[in-house]
Amino acid sequence: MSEKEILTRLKKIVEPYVQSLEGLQNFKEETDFLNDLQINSANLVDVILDVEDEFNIEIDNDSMEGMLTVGDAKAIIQRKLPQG
Amino acid sequence: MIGNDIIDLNLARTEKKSENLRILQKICTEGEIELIKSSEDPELFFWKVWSMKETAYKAHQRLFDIPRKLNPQKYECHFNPGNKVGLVSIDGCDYNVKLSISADSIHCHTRDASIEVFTGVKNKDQILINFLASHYTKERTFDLRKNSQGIPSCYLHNLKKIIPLSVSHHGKFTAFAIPLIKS
Repeated sequence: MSEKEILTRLKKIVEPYVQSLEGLQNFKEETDFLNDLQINSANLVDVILDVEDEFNIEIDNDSMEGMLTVGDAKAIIQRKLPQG
Repeated sequence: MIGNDIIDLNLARTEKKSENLRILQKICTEGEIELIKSSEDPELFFWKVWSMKETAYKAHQRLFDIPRKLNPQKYECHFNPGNKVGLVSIDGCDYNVKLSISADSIHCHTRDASIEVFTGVKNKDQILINFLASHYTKERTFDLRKNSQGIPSCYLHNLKKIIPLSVSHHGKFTAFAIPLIKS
């Protein structure tokens, strides 16, 4: 899966939880889920579940710890997706 | 150490998090899940656990100036029989917390005699102005700042003073916890 496709799917996942439209318009790897998108921390756990469903992967609690930006999420998804 | 968290129950209850085992397993320990499930009001109990973890997380992060992490499961909640006070353990540190529960909100803060908490439904700046006026100064020129770890403080321009504070907002509520330091 291309990086662009991962980011497009991620953006769609986070949309319902975002409280800053400005952050969403500026969606990029550096985007911080809490600071830039103003997603509340309880909803960040919802995002992680939705990512698991969308990409059919399992995000263990150790990986979840570091999922603070779009780039963090992308890297975790790439690592968990089957190669090829 | 200051930490506080507020939950707008009218908003939170619609999420039905206590009914979703996958969510619970990402946030709670096995023991906490058992307590939530056996509770008379599992959704309320879940949000009590969540606000305790958030409160302890904020205090712990500030105390050690550590980077942000999303690791709620590592914050282990212990309740006393009445459930109005509790203890949260993380990495060998214990944080005593106090819960205030009403029909439409849960507020949790670390228990410390020198902490003042302030909650309200007005906008954040107005609540903070009122708080500062009653405790520090009538000054209205201040900035909320965050350090590189995202830990907030308040800079009072005229007094040239930085006071640490813990901020929480959810739904219609905003809450602050500020240590009382007399200048």
